[in-house]
Amino acid sequence: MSVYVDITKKLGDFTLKVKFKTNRLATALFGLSGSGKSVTLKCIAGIIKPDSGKIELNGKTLFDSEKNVNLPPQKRNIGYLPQNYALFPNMSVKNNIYCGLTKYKPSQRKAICDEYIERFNLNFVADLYPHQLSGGQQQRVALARALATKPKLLLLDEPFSALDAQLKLQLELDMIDLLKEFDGDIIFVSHNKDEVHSLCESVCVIENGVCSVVCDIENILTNPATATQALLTGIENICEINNTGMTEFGFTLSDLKLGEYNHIAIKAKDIKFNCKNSDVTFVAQIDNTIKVSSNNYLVLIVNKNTKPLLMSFTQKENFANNSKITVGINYTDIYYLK
Amino acid sequence: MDLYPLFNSIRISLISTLIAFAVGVFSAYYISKAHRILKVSFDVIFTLPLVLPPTVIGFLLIKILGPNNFVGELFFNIFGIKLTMNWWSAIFATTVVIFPLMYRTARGAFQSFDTIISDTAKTLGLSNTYIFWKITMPVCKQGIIAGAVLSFARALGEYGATSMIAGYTPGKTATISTTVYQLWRTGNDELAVKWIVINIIISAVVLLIINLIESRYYNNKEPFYVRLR
Repeated sequence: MSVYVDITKKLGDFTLKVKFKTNRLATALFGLSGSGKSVTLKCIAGIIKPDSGKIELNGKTLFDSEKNVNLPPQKRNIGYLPQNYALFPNMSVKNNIYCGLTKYKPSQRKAICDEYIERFNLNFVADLYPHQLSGGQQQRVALARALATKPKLLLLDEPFSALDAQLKLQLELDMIDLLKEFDGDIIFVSHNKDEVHSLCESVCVIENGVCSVVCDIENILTNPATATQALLTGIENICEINNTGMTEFGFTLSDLKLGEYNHIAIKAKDIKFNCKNSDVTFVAQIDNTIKVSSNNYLVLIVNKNTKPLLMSFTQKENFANNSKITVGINYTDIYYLK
Repeated sequence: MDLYPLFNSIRISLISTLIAFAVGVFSAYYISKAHRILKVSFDVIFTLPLVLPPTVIGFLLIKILGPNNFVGELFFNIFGIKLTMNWWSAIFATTVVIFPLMYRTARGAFQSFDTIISDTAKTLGLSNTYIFWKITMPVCKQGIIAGAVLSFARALGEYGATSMIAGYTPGKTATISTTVYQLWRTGNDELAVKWIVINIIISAVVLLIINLIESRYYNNKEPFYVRLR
């Protein structure tokens, strides 16, 4: 079970250059909006033709610009779930699933359709039309429709982006459950780090149309190498740094590693209050306090017009807005990124 | 009252709507998927009859189909048929005049169809023919039907190009619009008014149908299928 992708595609003044190989079950393509993740998926599915390169699935060539091979999407045996699920609006749930069963004998189709309706818990909505369904139900129908064709590879393009945040967790659990019985590869596109963590074992980070190698999520968590990877790990403070050591946050670093790197990242919990022994200390003004899920943050501003810096604090400590505090950071707590 | 003009008008309108429908829908489908430059050039050519005066269209048609001109002469020599001054000659004129309406509405419908739906259908193994007839056409149906009804209404009211290429022969090429002109010219206002009332009733019914189709179309349209980038 492996997917090999090595393609280039020019889209306006943006060039996508993606090369990766997966041999694990679930791989995430992580990147910010507009980084070329969706286009990569469409190239694999055969909807968009890359300018050059090669795409292989389990050793079978799907696309090869040198040998002039370009299998149509109908012959690739790939399940594709676009962002808005693309259910056929003129067909009932049952027919949406039924019409895709083209490779089975007509006598088998009804049984297979019923089997998937049963397994995906769609009995009660089988005769309804897509616009009568909730977002979660639409997602289940699209998943059932794609998996009923027994694809070798399943492509999921931001499957949770069209859903309410409250529903997401339950639907993530549902999806993990439903995908258990699927024995093919999965490539999952997302810009949400939490989804990537809960659904995938390995990840490939795409930045400005160029991707990193596929690696374990754990690897990136402990050792992010680029700004986007740092974003994936959930590090709160990421900023650019220029060659004099000046950060966008407004304080200066005089460290040896300058030049090679152009971004730094600092965890909010690593910024310490009143710490005289820290490697870097500076005075900052408290702009605000915010609460994100269960974490409390102080929003610090070093100078006017600099990027705000987030610092963790416990509710026992009392900070007044607009008061000035001295904070410190250790060099060992700073991630240097490309 | 001789109802021949009513019968003739409806027959001409129906046939030309059918022709414009078939040609318009297929050219709209392929042009909506074509390259931008091709799209713009075809749009200009296919929409021209909408803005040109019908007399210009009539003139150009006579220059092509007239008995002393190339296509007309060729046809007469081979089949012994004159392409002008028959009841069906008006079909040439009305088809050209209504084509832009059919083409434009069909293209609008295809353009607003989210292509990710047909792309996903392809990954399920469905053939392009199946996708066109069972998914794209049903989803775009209402817009296309509204375009066809509008084309029919416009064909019914065609006068300029029709009178030039088919003329006015009572009981042969007379349509409602040419009859009204003839009756006014000969001072028969009473009969002219009768035809005008008939014409207004037909047009009002047609517009009512379009309204019904469009209101159904917009009520059914779910924001979920609005094109995502």
